[in-house]
Amino acid sequence: MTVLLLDAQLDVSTTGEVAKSLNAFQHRYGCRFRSLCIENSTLKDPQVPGYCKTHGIDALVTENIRDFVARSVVFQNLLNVGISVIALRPGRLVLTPERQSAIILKHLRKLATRLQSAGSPLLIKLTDSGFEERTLQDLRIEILGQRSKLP
Amino acid sequence: MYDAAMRSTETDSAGASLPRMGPREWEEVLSAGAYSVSETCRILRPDMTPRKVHYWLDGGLLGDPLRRGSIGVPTLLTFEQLLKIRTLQYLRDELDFSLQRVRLGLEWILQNLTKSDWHNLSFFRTVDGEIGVTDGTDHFRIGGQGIMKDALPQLLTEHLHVARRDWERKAVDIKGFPKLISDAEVQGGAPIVVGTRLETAFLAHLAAEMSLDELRRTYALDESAVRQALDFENVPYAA
Repeated sequence: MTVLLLDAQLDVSTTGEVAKSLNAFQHRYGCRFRSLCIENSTLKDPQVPGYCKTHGIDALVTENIRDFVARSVVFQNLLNVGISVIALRPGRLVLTPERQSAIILKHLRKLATRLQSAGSPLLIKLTDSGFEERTLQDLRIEILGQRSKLP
Repeated sequence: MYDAAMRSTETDSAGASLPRMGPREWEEVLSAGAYSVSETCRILRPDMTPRKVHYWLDGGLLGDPLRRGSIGVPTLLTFEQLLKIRTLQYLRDELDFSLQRVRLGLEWILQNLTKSDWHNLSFFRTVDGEIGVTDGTDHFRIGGQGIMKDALPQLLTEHLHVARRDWERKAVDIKGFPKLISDAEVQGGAPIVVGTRLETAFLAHLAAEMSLDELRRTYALDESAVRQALDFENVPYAA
């Protein structure tokens, strides 16, 4: 079973409804979702990779509503310890809990296949209409400022 | 008296610039927070402006930025530089220091603000009416002769102690928004609700479709925290 952790800003912190809705398909795709906002909502950035590593997480599902360069370091640190990163980009949509579920669910078959077949951690950008894999090198170039956009 | 050599003891991150760092060092510096000039101004609102920040950067008071900006690529500052900007703002705008007249003294303060052996920096009025600063064993004259506020040394000392506290906890409060904070180690220093990883910008994003009450219930926040986050982001909301 591939375990995906929804980052602290995603899901509903009182009920975990996003994870619950996605877990309705866990046996179909072999993916189980958990929510950081329920498990531990006060982690510091440097603690996130260690938390994922010690709690059996395979991928962190996070959001990126605006380009914020410091966020890319968290992504990179996760990739360095073998945790995949899935960044939801809203485009013109608003990432309400319902839409978080909908976007992930829309791509869940492909997401599960890629995560389960990849030999190394992946960096994936998910939008309502798109599924795009990025590399650590892409991210490094972005961190070094040669381009301003993040996944 | 401290001599000019003291001014070269600035902590490493402020003097580092991107071309001198490898990817690993760059990541380490960034993981301690990275602030664009506009983000810095948002955190130090309401009186900070990009123009002031760039003026002080160009004047050499803040050291080199993490990255100098160009078209489409923002200038990036460290958490240390954010604290220095706040200190400069306080000295200039609230205590009426002329940055040009007391430049050497200000550089000394800024350099010592984050030094590891900084403990008891305090200010005093010299016999000829200037402001001096001491660490308990040595002292440095910083000027400010024309500033008549009686409580000036005490105000300066209190401000420096707050700056030191913030340096140690790696976070700054946001003036006028007690439920918000910028913590260099949470969401890269973006303004968040205290005690959470919730960015004010993300709450503002959601507020386009979710009411204040829905946001409050979704994240188990009290109403004032949500209100402050949305007010901070200048987002209108429905109760």
